[in-house]
Amino acid sequence: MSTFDQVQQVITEVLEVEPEEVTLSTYIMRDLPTESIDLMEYGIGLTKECGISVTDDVIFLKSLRLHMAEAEDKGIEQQAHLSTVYPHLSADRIQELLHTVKEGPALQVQDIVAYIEHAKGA
Amino acid sequence: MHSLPMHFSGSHACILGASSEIGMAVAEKLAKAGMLLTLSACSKKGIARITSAFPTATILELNLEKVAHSVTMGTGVTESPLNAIQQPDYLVDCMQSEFEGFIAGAEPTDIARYFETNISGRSICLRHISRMMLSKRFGRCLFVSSTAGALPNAGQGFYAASKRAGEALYQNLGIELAARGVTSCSVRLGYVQSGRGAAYIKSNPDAVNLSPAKRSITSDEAAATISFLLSNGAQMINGTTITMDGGLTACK
Repeated sequence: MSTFDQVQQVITEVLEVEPEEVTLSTYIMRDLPTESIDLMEYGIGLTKECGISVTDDVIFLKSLRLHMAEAEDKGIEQQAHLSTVYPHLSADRIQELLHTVKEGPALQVQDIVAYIEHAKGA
Repeated sequence: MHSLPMHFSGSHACILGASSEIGMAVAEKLAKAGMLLTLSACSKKGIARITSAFPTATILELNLEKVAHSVTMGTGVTESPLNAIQQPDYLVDCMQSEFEGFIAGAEPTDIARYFETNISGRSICLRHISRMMLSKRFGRCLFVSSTAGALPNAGQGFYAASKRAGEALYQNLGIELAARGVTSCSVRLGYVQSGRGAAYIKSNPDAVNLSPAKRSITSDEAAATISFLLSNGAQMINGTTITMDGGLTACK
């Protein structure tokens, strides 16, 4: 089972939605009826399913805006700062996040997959 | 004597502070009901006591001060004894370390250690167990509190504060997870004829006469009520605190 399949399974089980509704580009909070308690259940389910330790704050980009503001306060480049906080995300994805975050919660399924693959490889 | 049966959907109970008399009495009732048990104590003496009384139970030496401290110091909890707790359906939290002192008189290090154990450690433990319950969408948690939470005597400020904090944690757990099948409540016990309660009653024999019932609660009575509160019939008693004190805190 691929990492994406594992993530898809956890999300569909928690939300009781069809697998087709969960793709790599699905926005977790915008496209799915995810509530904050569901994120907690995703974290628990992924820990169990993938055998890794999950830090909810990082995997679900909960403090993304906070870290962006933090970078601004400290006068450091946001891209560089976010690379440190979210080492599982590619430079291109961080760039994309910086552009799309104004449109709403930016977390996508692909970000969760990236976190798990990074954790598995660590 | 007539009796009504109690029903339990789950089959595995974890009792924290199981070497206390109330913990032992609850463990006995649940064992008789056929429940698998995970029992914790924090001292060698306590471990020996529960091991001897419940030879088939999973026994856990659990020092919540150490658990909290390892988190604070960033050493992580991966090797924590909490990991030995396997998927309980029920949690009965009788754990409470002893400490009495005046607010203005207690040593700061004692205060910090006490709250680290009884609030931080308890919170981390509750987080750990409730996440397991959430993953199977079933769980029932019960915190054994005290009427000292409502009416503390002089010297019981820290004890009362930790009991109220415990009640608040268990209340919120019930608020947050009830929709996912995990419910919770607390029971405030009055004068119980066991442990530090028995010692207090012995040195203050008139204390029980303050209760309209004019007697103390036995461990068996407390355990029977706790067992009921764990049962299917009590699941909607959620996010709240039940008082069992013979009417002690109901009157002046």
